[in-house]
Amino acid sequence: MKQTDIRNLILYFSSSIHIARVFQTKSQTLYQHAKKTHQFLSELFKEFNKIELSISDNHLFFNDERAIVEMGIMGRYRSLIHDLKTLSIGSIVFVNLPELEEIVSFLCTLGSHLATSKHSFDKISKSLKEQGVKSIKIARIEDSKQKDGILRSIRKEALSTLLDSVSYLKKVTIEEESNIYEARRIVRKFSELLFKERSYLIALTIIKDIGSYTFNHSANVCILSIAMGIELGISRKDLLELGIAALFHDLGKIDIPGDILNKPDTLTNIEYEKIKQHPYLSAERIIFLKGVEEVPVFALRGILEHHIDYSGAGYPDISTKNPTLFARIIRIVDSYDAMTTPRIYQNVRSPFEALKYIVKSNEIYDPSLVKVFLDVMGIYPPGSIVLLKGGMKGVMISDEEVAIVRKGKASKDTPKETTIIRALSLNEVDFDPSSILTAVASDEDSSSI
Amino acid sequence: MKDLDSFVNYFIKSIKNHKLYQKVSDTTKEFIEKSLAELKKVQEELGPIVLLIDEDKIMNDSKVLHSDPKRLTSIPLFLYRNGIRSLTFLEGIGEEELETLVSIIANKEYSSTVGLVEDLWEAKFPHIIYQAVEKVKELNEYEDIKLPSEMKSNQLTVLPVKVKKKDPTQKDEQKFGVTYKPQISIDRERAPFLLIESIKDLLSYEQIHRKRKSLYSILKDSIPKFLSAGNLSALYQTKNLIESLNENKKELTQIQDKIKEIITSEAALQLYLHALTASGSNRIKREAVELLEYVGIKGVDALINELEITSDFIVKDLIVSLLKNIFANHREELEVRLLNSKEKTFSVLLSIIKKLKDPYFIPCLKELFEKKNLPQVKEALFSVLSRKDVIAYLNHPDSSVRVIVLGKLKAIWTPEEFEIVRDWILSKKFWKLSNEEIKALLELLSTLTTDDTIKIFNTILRKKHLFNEKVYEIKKMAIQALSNVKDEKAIDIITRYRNSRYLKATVERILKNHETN
Repeated sequence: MKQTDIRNLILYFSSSIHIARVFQTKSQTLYQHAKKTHQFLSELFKEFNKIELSISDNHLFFNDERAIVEMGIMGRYRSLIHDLKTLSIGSIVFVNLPELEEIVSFLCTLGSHLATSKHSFDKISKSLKEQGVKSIKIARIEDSKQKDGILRSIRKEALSTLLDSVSYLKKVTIEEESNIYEARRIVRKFSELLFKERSYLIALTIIKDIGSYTFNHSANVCILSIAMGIELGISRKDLLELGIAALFHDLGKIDIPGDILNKPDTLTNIEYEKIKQHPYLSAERIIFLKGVEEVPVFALRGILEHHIDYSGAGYPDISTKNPTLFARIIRIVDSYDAMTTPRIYQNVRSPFEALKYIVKSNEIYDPSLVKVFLDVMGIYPPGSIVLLKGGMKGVMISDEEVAIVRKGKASKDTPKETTIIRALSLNEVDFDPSSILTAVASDEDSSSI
Repeated sequence: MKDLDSFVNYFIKSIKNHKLYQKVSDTTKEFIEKSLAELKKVQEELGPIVLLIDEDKIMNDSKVLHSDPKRLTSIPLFLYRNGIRSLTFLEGIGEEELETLVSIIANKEYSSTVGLVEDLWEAKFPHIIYQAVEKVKELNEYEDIKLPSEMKSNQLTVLPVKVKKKDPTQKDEQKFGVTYKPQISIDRERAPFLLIESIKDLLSYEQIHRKRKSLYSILKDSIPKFLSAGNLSALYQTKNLIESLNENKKELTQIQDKIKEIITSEAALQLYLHALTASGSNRIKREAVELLEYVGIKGVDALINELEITSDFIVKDLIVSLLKNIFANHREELEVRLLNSKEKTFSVLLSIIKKLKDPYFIPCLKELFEKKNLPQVKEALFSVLSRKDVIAYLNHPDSSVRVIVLGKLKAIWTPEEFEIVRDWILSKKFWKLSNEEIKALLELLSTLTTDDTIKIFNTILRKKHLFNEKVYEIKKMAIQALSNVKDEKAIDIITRYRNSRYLKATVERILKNHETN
């Protein structure tokens, strides 16, 4: 399904429910909105034999495809999720194209139940049957405890895969026998997890101290690049190659002496020349890896060009100055992760500050991809430390989930106020956000809102 | 359950059939259709169908649906070795999706132990779920990695595939409405060019001999793929890359030679010729020309052959200029071919010699000139000879040769040349020459504007004619030629003959033209 179709459906549907809640009767305005919804559904039914709208982990899915929405309709999107959750509705299925009257009855039922303080799924279901609504079916939202269990399981798996990737990268640099199959498996795993629990995996990239900087950084860049690829809708085959490029993009740095990489002062020309060689060295690592029957060309190019700016400037001095898509993606993600990592030669930036810098640097980063990156990360990217109204501090676990931090640990308490005042930098807090993130994946309950 | 047996039976048959014919044949399609029909029947009754994969059998719950002893061609064993432990078919599955699954399984080698899971993953099936066993570490295995402080050492698990059993009362909710569609992909046609570019970049950096050799080998192994895909532009870029690289080490030049060998092979030559004659793209045509030039003398026969066949003038011009460039470095080859060629090819080769203007060919052409009285041989010879040698041919007994020579000279350059022309015109034999030669001589004389030139014309015009028609004709030609001399004296002389009975018309026309100009 095209994302524009999804966008339209969210807009029409959400506004219709809102109107139904206000009027609670089959008003003229409701009919007008219902007509638009009907018209749009009939277009969709030309392509699909059934349309299903379901909620999972605070996201809307259309026929099993996650809705990706831009900031412009984020309000409508969240309002729709909120309304359906309030009514304990987990999914709405249009089994065939409903009559206009059925849509109106359906919206009116939802609206009037939303307007009251008592919400009963069974009553809604019964009311719909009584009104003869046959083409629209609703299903109850999943049991929250069971859902939490699944979610925690996925999060554990995400953390394990992150560790797996770091372990693999370490092995690649010391073992002659390392092969590319393992890298491909890791990238597939990251992709699957991003399909299931994107926010948490993105939040994990705030962890910067697993293994050495280069390995942890490479794994983070891999996760964020795949998330961008998914957002862009590229095929899985391409996603795999993008992930490989991201995973290997900086491995060449292993061959550069540590005293150059970690030098706190300005580099000499000779030292800088050494640094500029790392895209070549990284690219060669991928070529000479065991099991490479056919060179992953787009990955190779992505690695070679990942320090070429959108304007064509940058290094190394290679034959093209028009970086490929993968290179432009890695260029953004690589900078973001580097900026948000404390290094001896630079001051660390908060995710919010890093995003701000990237948005401003039109010459360096592809502006259209920067927009996509912003959609992936949100204004307060998962893993950000935020100050809430009321003075509490928390860590963003997903777009809507904030783990409240008390005495440096995720708290079980549920605060009343979750409005975010601003993002905080690491210097302003006395805890490590990565420990909060790992805690939410453990069996020990952490409070989340 | 009989339907379930039939579904699996047809499913296995379709895979084996596909493997046999290495494509989706009509029979494969028939098996897939039957398999799908049986699957749909059984799904009506049971909902999603889970097939469990064991080393030698395929089961549903504990019922064995297909059994194959441990042979190399066993489908269950093949799936099992690739890590597949179950395949679940959800409702809503269509023919295209099932066919893709069959193709993916069938296209993998029986001996292969990697890649099937990846291919299934890439296909992103909406109605097929596979469960695979892949290496998953437990958290306590990461001894060498520093863990974030708060992580509990729980054993990590992979989520099992959960499929809801069908609830007959909720038929519609259980169906899946997704249409199976291919996904958006990046432009993979660019892959060969990006590979060449990357190898070029890496070779510009890498100095270690062993690594350079590996990079060359990657390129070498890729060229047959470019060739079989008919990717002329990729071959062109490879050629350019190889030409730009200078290697000193024998091992590297040997790989370079192998690359050249493939680029200049017979198969490659056919591709280039086809592109040259049939491609609608000027860029491809240009690349084909350069590649054919790179093939060099090996491709000459095919080019000449093509030149004889084609009626396209643009292609003809391209081939002639191509042959000229190739033969410029292979003069002996051209000479041998010229002496042994038949009429049509002979003319083609002569036209190339004419373009080359290489004195190397003089002896050969002189020999041919003596033996074969052909105009194109004369043309070719005078194109190759120096001016001095050409002028020497003004004494040749054959009038047609002298006419060609006069045409070649175009203008008088030196006093010596003037003297030769003057002597010819003032000699007695001048009046007996053919009109064509006389005209050529007079026109050549008219290219030099001097008093002596005008005097010679005057002498001709004052010749007594005694009603001789030939003399009148020559005088007309002289007046015409004299009008070319850019001098007022010439016009004065012409004006004197405006009342001449025989020359009047010619003179008036010339004077009219003169006034107009």
